[in-house]
Amino acid sequence: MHTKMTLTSLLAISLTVLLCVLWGAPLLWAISTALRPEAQTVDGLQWLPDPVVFDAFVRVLTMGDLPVFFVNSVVTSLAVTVLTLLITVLAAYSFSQLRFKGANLLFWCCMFGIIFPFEALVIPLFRQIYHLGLADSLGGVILPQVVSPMVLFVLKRFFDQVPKDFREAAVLDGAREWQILHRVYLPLSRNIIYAMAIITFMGAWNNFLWPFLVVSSTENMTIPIGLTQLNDTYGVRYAQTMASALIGGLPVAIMYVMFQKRVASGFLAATGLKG
Amino acid sequence: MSSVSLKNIKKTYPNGNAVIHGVDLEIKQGEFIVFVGPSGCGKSTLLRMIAGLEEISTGDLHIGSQRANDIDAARRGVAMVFQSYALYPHLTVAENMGFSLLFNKTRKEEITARVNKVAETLQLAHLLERKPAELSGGQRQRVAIGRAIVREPEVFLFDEPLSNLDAALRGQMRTELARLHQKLGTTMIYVTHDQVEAMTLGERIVVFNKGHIEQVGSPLELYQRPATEFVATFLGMPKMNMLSCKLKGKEAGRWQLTPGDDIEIPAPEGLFDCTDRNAIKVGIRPEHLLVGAEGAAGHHFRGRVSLVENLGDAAILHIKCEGVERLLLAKINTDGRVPACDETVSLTIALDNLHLFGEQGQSLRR
Repeated sequence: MHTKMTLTSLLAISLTVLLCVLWGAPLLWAISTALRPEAQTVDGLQWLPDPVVFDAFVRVLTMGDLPVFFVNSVVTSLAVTVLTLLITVLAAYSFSQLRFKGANLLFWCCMFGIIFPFEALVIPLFRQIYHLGLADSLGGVILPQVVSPMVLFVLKRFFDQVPKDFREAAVLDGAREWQILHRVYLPLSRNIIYAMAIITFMGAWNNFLWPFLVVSSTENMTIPIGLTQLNDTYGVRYAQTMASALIGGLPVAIMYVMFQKRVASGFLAATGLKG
Repeated sequence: MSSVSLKNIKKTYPNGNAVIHGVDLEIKQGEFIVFVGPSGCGKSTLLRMIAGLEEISTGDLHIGSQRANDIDAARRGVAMVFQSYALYPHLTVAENMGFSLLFNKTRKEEITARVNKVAETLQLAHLLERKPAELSGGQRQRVAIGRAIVREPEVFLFDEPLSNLDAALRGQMRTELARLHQKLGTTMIYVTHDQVEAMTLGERIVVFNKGHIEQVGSPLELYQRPATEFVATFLGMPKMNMLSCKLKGKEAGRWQLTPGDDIEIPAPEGLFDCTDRNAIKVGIRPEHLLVGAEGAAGHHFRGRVSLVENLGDAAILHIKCEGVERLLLAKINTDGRVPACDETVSLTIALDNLHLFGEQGQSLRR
């Protein structure tokens, strides 16, 4: 059965193609540049490199500090993800399922944090980290990022939507709170937790401002900061710069492609819409 | 199995809303008792207080010989079947049924043995590895019941467990529940808003209304001798015909009831002297309003059929009588002739089948 092509669907398709071109063109350009010999990169735009060489990738991986930046990014992003989820899952469950005085007020105080842009908090935050002796360390990069009001809000909203009967049945069965969380709520919220984990990881991986402010030594730099250093080091070595950027973005891209279904279903679960 | 005793149980929420206004009830060991009433009457709230899911504001709850007010829900010896079944979607049938045993350090082998035994009883053995989403409504129902049975409780609590099933399945599950009670002999407290379930399942029925108990008794007792107007109209399908009446002067020693200008019915013997003779209500069950039975004993009058509802084995006639505000409902067998619409019919009421209620809704029969 053929669906008639309406003007609206034609416009939608055209817009989608345009957006794909706008998004994809710089990426293709970067890939093409990274696969060209360094001397050819200043010869102008060439979508298909000829010849294809991997020299730039070999150089950035074997010389310079990219491996160090990569490891730092992995460590800080994983730590931020794990700690954020640990804290917000416990907090979201408490706000959603436990009854204690001041719960509402405390929750909205946490939500108040969403209102302020991070940039407005960097100076007092830096002072705190400095006084804690964590400046220019991976701990200093990690700590301020483990507080996420947005993740708390999403998880709490999800826990609120879990049917009350599940909890009551577990209470009647003799489960304690941590057992109810572990055996009932966590399995039910697996997809949304995966989604939040991926988003948190991506956010931590791509975070530039805070690591840039708190880290000064090369051995503590993450990839976004490290790439700017590479740029200064290599001068105008576009092939190596593009290769570094592609290597830096690859883990997140792979992760998203692998888990995109979970991310989508997690978001749907959080919104209460049926997929 | 245990008895359950409720003495002056009250429930008031922190916002001041009182939902249970002093309930006294003794439930015998091994009894199948049904709490029935309209939505919002407090029956589920009372069940949840027995379960320990709601706090009791005042009053005493005893399960067996133990005062249970301050005992945790998990240690009261009760198991509950929820309206939504509360089956965990991420667990298999076997895991759902054995869930409660995980928290009291039961050995894995024993959990498996108990689950298998109950699964055999409920014909679930071939479904143990399935998830709830792969089951039909009736199967999920049985898993929910199985989960309760595995706990080997003193008291079973059912919170409208059949309300999510279609009519045919409900009938089938009612029979299974009745058989289960016969087999286990455990005390069962069953909450429903469906009077058919109440009448068919309960050894005794407790009718609730607005947080009070209207009447407690066997199904027949409540049906034949309702203590209040509420009970009379709540039980029975179709509902009892309820007519506002006045009492006229005594003739031949008996009061005359006047539900309509041209209708005078001798009041049954044994009528109390009520304070307001203008506020009596007369109740007649549709099956007791005899159509076309001129030779039968009782009071006779006439009416016009305005609607016929055919149920197959029976028909409900909606009848308009002169001077009577409401349409009367009469239930007749379809074995004989069924009157047509607009047909004038003669009606007979046997006086013994009249129910009389005073201004407060209380029964006026001795």
